[in-house]
Amino acid sequence: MPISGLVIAVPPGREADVAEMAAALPGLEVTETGNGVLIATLDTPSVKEDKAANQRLAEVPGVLAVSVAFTSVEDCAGNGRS
Amino acid sequence: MKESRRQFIKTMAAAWAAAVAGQALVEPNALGRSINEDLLADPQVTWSKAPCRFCGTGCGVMVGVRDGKVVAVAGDLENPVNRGLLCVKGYHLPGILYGADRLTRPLVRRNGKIVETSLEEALDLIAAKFKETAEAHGPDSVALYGSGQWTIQDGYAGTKWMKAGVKTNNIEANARLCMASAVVGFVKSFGKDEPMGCYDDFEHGDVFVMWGNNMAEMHPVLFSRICERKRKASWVRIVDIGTRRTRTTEASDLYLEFKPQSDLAIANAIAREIVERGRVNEDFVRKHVAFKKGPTDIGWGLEGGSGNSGPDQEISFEEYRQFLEPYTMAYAEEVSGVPAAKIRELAGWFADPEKKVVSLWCMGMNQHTRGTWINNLVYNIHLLTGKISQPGNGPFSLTGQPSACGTVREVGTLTHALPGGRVVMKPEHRAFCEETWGVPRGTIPSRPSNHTIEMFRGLKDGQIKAVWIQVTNPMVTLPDRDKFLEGIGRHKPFIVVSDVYPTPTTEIADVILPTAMWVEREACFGNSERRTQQWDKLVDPPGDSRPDSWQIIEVARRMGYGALFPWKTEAEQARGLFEEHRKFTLGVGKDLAAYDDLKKARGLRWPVVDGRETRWRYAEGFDPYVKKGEGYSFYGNKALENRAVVWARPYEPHAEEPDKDYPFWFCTGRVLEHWHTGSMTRRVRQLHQAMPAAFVEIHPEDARELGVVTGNMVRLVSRRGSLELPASVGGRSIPQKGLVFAPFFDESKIINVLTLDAHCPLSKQPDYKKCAVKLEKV
Amino acid sequence: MNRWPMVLALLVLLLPLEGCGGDGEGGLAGLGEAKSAWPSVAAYTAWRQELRLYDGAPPVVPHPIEAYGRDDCLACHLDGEAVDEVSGRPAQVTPHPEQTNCRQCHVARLTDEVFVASQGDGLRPRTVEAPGNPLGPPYIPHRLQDRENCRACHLGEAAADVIVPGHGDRANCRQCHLQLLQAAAPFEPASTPGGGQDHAGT
Repeated sequence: MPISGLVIAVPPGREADVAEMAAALPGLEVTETGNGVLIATLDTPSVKEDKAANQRLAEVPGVLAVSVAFTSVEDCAGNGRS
Repeated sequence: MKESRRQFIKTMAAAWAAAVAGQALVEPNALGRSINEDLLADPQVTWSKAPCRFCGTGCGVMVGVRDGKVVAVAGDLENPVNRGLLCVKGYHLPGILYGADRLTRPLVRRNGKIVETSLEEALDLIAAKFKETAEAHGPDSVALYGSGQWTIQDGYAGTKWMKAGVKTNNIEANARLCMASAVVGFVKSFGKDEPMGCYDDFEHGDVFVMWGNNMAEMHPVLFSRICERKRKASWVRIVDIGTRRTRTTEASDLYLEFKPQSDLAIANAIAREIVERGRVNEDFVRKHVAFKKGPTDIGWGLEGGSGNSGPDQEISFEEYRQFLEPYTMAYAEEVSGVPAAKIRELAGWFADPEKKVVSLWCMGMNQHTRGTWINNLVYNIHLLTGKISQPGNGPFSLTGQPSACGTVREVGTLTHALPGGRVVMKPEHRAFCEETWGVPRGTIPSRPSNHTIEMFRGLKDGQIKAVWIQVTNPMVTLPDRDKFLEGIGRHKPFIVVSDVYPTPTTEIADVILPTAMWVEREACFGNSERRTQQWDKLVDPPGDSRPDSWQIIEVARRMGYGALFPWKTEAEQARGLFEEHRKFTLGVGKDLAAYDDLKKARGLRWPVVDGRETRWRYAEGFDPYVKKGEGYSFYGNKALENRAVVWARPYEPHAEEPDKDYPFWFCTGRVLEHWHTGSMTRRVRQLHQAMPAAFVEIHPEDARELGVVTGNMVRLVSRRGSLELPASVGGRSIPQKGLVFAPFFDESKIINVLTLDAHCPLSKQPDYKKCAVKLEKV
Repeated sequence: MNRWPMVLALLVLLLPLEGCGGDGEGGLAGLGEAKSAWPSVAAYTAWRQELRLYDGAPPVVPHPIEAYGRDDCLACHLDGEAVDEVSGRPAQVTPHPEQTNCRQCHVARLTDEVFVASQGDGLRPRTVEAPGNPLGPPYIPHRLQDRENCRACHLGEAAADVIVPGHGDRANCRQCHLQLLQAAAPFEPASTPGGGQDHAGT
């Protein structure tokens, strides 16, 4: 069950309304707002849903870019140890 | 996983993201690029800014140089035009400098053979021939034909040499074939050239209307800005008024497919609808608009043809309203083939005071036998509704070439023009130029001599006996090309060509000068939104290549006009030519920024007054020339109390429409991958391989009747010539039934053997979009 | 701010823990099991370069694209699950799906002919130099503009196996991986030994 920390770029001044739209996505929580930037966490049941949520987030009006700053996948099989 | 651990991880995730946001991200710009890749710290490649070499958008490029060669480019994130995005041509700029057959040595025709010669000899020969020809046959027997791809410095050197030195108005540029209708349209409507808006309009408009231009392929980066606007503002609409379905149509919400030439009727019908619905912005019209009409049945400028001329007259609003009477929706539908409901819907968007509308156009309206008129008619709609000179609300005439604005229009490299928007016909304008140039009163001839088509008619008929062609390829681009080629072959004028690669034009030259291109010399361009952009010399040109302006100055010196050009080195010339040109622009509403400011900036939009750009002209608060309390002032029309003009321009047919012998419309244009005649872009492997050869687009039903599928050879025949092209059916673009289209980038398929040199009698710009052909299956 | 405590905490978090239920869908099965197998990094890099005029140019598309709008392109190139029939390789994942007009920059290759040969040689990715610390993270040898999203090429099912890292889908890649552009600028000390003010509490 991946947990990601996201940096979402938005046009300065639009933070509040984009945050409202983004928060409607399941698993997404906006924790902080900066100038032109939203900090959010994304908590989804699977990698596939994590990717799908990322994609839907990128299509929210006002979202300029989404950067994944952090991902923990520690409770999933095959977590990349090699 | 336990809930408390899950919560802990989420806290870490948020903290980490916040740390990354604080330290790693550069402030994202409007297109969302956030990258802290530090080009300027690159130890191996030196990166410098320059505008793109290609279209009138004027994208900013970072040019990467290593070991004296351009090895890469990147979209310039700092340039507000494109914010880091380019189109496929822009991304392939490094390739255009290095074709294996790059011209590097002067070539001269001796005893029918082309041989190499030294620069000194070539320049001596050119100067001697021009001098002796002008002395024997008069100054109007020599000519200079330049380009909207000339830098500002080149155009200024050329116009000073011809008008102050040789004392002829025989200077023209290929922008006559590209933007002349836009220029005369502007001057007739506003008294001054060039758009009142800027690219900021793309982030503010609600409706974007394309009037006969394929913006997705021709100004792709600007079109992407419109698409971005629409993605973020879901109510935005894109309207495509066109004669064929293109990539622009794919992105549009409303498509009006019209019969060629009927755009005149559609525009008048929209104006009539606005008037009938009572949606005229009466306050704006009362304060800022005058009404006029001009002669009609003005002909098409054909050899041996005729047409009315005469003075323009002011009329009343009531007379204008009566003029609009016949342009009902039903009439517009009949003439254009566009369903009245669609025209009415579009008219409704123009009429809605809450909707901000941007009209955009390029060659469809300018390369038109009534090009000036259709430009006026689109301005009419914006003037009647007061939708002009405001963010996202106004008409925007897009420029095709990178410096048709900066050079041809602002420097005035046309037969009737002088720098700073002045004209040879006005004594006070001539006097100002003669004084600034330090030449005697009476030096500049007071009458225009030859516009481009007249210039080439003069060459083919023997009146013009010497011509210097720079940065353009008329043996591919002249309409009814063979007529000119044949006449030139008979009269054999002395022809000098400055270019970078061999072309069909260098093939007829007597002297060929290798020329420095783009970042091989320091110079400036001016783009569609009045943004003047400067770049430095970044690499050396090959062999004996020199800038066009340097070549002109060398010839001028040899002819005795050295005093006009006191700058010795290339660097001095680059700065000196610009700074002298700048003098002509100050105080007349065209103020260019200082050269040093342009060196630092990603360009600046004129008028630049007290260091501040102007984004929307003629509007109070945006334009420093508009006084407080005026609201709007169209100060190019002082005689009309600073009012813009709404023109009564009727629908009139084209010079050659399809008939039973030649039943198809023939339309021409460009494609995304290639620039103009392909001399640069075809030499880039990726661009050639993406679009290797010309083709003719045919509507599927027409193709079926003809019995052809994609790839079959088709012969196109007009009254002037014939050409075989492979068919493209249901490919990238689909013409309307009864119309075929071919691009002009392929020098092995000169489509201009088919076209006609009919032109707008006011602007003298030929109509490349319309003539009549028949099709035969080969 | 002193990041070491956070880095340590991060390392702790990412140590594998026992006894956690899988999500039943193979989770990150794609990691380290890329479907795109290459004999060597050199072979992969050569293929990649052949599609571009220079490092940083948009690659040409090796299949017809005329009929495709953005949605069509993204149908295969957004998540790399599609496989090209001819080459057997997965469709390359785009690092910039937010761009609107794919065909403005990416054009197809319709022929192998050349109009006139070129003498130019574009910028190529640098060879990956040995980092200062032989155990340390390798440098990024290529341009980053328009390809800020490392995951598109380096992780996931469409990744070329030779460039998939051994440490998995971790965190901000560029906290450890520097670009070669930045690597070679020499450090210029601003202070001299023995100079400067006393530091309180040292």
